[in-house]
Amino acid sequence: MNYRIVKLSALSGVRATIYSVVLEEDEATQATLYDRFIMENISEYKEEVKNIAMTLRAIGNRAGANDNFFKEWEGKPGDGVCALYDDPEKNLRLYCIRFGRTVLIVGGGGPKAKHMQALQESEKLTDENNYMRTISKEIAARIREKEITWSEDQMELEGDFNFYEHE
Amino acid sequence: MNKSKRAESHTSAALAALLTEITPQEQSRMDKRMLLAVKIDDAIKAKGWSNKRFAEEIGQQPSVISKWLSGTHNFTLDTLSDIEEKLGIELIALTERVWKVTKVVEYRTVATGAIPLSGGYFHPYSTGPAIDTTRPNKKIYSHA
Repeated sequence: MNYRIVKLSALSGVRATIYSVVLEEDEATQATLYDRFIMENISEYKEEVKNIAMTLRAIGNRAGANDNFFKEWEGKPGDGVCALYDDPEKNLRLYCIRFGRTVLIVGGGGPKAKHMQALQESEKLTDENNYMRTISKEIAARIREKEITWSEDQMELEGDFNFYEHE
Repeated sequence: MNKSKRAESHTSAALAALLTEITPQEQSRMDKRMLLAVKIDDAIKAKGWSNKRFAEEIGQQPSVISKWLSGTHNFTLDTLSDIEEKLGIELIALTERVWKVTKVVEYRTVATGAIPLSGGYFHPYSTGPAIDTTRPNKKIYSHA
């Protein structure tokens, strides 16, 4: 899986830096996983897509990535993979990776069936969740190797954000 | 691919178009909901309570507390008032306006109305000669 991490300046602010992911297959369009989420869902769930964007902008500029804004344990324990909080009556789920209160990587997601509890029941959500698990694991490895570090003000990650196997 | 210190700043047409549809009022509401959630969460932690303990204290299900703290909840005034009482914090800032008489002025009725005699200010909404100290530049009022 080849990809790079990019900063979403339109959503980032003084409380948190928001990133997303451009997969190699999307390099031609430069669409991030979050862009894909917007484009795939805006016609059917416009208000929810808008609300999610407002939530992310509030996290970046006003509130920070408080743990209560997310549903944890969407990945393996401690890997930071989570979903933005969604009510049972909401239709969409968006996966993220949270690094403390100041760094958030937004991935993709999709519609969840109302009756669905287990992630495995939705192939689309499973794929999106697996992307985030892989990305989380590879970022964690780079942090361990100090190829990615925290900025001095602890607001951003710094280092090598290109995850291409054959550079 | 080149290695860079900070991640490349990315803009997209899809996100830019979406953000233009969000009004300042909508964003402000969302900001306030999320800031309220953070303030309540901080107060729960300051008391040394878990969310479960807070749920018990305020007589709600833990799932309701999760929703309150998620930043998505549209609180009623009654709920905010209950939370204030339970956590001992202020979420609804209400400042009572206190009218205070600091100086009594003389006035007399003349042909054109009531005017002060001693250079003070006449409060137009009072039944007596009270002074509105919050509006010190107020003109002398008279009625035609």
